[in-house]
Amino acid sequence: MKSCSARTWLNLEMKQVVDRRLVGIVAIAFVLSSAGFSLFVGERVESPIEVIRNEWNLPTDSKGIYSMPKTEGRYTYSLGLVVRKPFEKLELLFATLKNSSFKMVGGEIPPSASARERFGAIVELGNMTSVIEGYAERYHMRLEEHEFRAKVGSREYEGFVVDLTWPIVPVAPAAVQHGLPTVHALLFDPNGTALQYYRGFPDFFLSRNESIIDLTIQRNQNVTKFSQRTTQQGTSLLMKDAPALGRLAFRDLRKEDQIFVTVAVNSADPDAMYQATPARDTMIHMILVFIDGECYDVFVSPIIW
Amino acid sequence: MASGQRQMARGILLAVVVLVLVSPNPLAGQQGSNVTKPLLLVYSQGEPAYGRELANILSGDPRIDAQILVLTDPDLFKSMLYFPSVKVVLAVFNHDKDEGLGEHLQNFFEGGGGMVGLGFAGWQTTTRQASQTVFPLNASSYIVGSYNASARAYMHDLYVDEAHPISRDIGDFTAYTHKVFVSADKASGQQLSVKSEGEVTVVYRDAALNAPAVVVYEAAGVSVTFACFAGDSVERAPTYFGRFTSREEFRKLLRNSIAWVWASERRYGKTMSSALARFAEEAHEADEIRAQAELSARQHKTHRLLRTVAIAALAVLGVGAIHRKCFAPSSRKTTVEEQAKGG
Repeated sequence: MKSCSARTWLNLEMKQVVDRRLVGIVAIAFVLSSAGFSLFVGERVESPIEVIRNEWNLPTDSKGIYSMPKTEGRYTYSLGLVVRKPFEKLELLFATLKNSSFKMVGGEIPPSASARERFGAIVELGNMTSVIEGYAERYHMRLEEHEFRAKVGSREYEGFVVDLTWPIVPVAPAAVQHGLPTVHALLFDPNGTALQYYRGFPDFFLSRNESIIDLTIQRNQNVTKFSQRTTQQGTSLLMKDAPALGRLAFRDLRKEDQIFVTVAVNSADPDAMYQATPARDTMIHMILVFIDGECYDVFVSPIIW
Repeated sequence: MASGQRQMARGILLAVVVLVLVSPNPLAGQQGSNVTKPLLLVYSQGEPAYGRELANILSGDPRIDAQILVLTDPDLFKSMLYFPSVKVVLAVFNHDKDEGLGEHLQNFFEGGGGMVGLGFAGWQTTTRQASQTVFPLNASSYIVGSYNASARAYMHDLYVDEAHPISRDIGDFTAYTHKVFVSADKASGQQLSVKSEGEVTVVYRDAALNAPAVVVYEAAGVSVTFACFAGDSVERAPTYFGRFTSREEFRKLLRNSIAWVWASERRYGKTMSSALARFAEEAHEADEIRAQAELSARQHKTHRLLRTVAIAALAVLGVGAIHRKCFAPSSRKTTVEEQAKGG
């Protein structure tokens, strides 16, 4: 009885103030927009990972390029990732490549050439890579070839990286594995006028047993630290036992998982780092990021020595 | 209806694409059979033309069913020494420069590999430990041959010391090469001063000093070492590689050496089988991860579909309820009646 009279009162009030149809339209619009928001905005495709840190704590030169001092000191590279969508496997492949443009021998490269064609134009390397590609296809060898973009100071470059580590390194004795230059990259500007060739080693940094002070790998609360000497508390493992060839793999990634990798290097010993090769001007520190076996991104940090 | 047809067409197209991707490509298969023969790796230190010439000499030999790759970059050569498909290495060292390759040559040899070394291959400061353990000359000195002005070349007379398949159909001959590398003391150059663990056969000797000129070595691996035939690409120079590569004796000796090493090496089979097992395991793991990722993607898609349906259903119910409340005539009629009663 009470509710009936209240309804009557309400209806009368609405009749007097607004047409109830207007209320209906507003209510329907609200319901539809809420549903639309849930369907299209709330369920938008997210990137599986978010990069929250990807930097060196190095001084930069006048062009904004990282510059590694040749003095004793601790310089760190930090990578931080947050998982936004669950997936099976995250792989981080570290490599450090030295400018080896003086070793580049090749013919004319037409401006319209693709990144792979430009790479193939470095005669010996192109021939060798083509041969390995044939075997890789036949025998299911893992061979990584990817295009990427890199910013060197204010200039944008396109790049192409070929990682021959899988076909070559498994046969090599452990003692020589880190000394095999199996990662090759080409940087060129979009006009095809500038071309740089980099050659390097798959690892967290050059000469891990000399140049890396420590390496920290963290997944959520689980932290593993490697350094040149074990601590008395036993909280640190030896650097030589760090994951081989700078390859990290994380399985069964959950939403909001956090991954951090920190590499601290001492730049005081350039000969050890460069293994007495003549090119000492530029190197690139590179991380190839794979999600469920597919290359997700290539992070490139050019560093001037 | 049109939408259903479009979906069906899309499904058929997808199926065709999948079929094309997974079915074996006959052309690719033919290419694969050509490009995946055992690899003969030719390294010519600093002299690409010399390397190409060696590849040309070997490419027509039916005993060597190989794909040939010529390299002059020591870093690339070093990497390729560990590539599992490499069956035999032909390494020509044209200078006494140490490129840090000795350890890697030794690793290849100790893995059962077959190698043929020319020029400074057995020179102490060029290949370091490999000048004893792979190319057992331990050389640190050399003999210059007699100069032939009409041929514009230095010459060494080589004679057969011990019979071996590599000297078949050749016999004694004159080598048009500038130097023959010998151990430090020329007098003791008559004997090999290496501590070899395997069996050494001196196939040819230099007639002037009786120094070993071509040596076959069998230990963990097998090798043939030439104490001569370093060359360069300067056509007018007496050291030009073409002076000896054009000689039939050299061509035969090189082919015989490679063919013998090709048949005698012990690395290729075992390296390939272990490497292929590893590659298959990695490929299997990659497939599993891909399958798991696809399954997760399908589940996610299903979840999204259900969620969409649920939200759409709720929206329809909501709109229906609002419509009934605000737009349905019965509701308005009741209100009017109630108003009349109230009035």
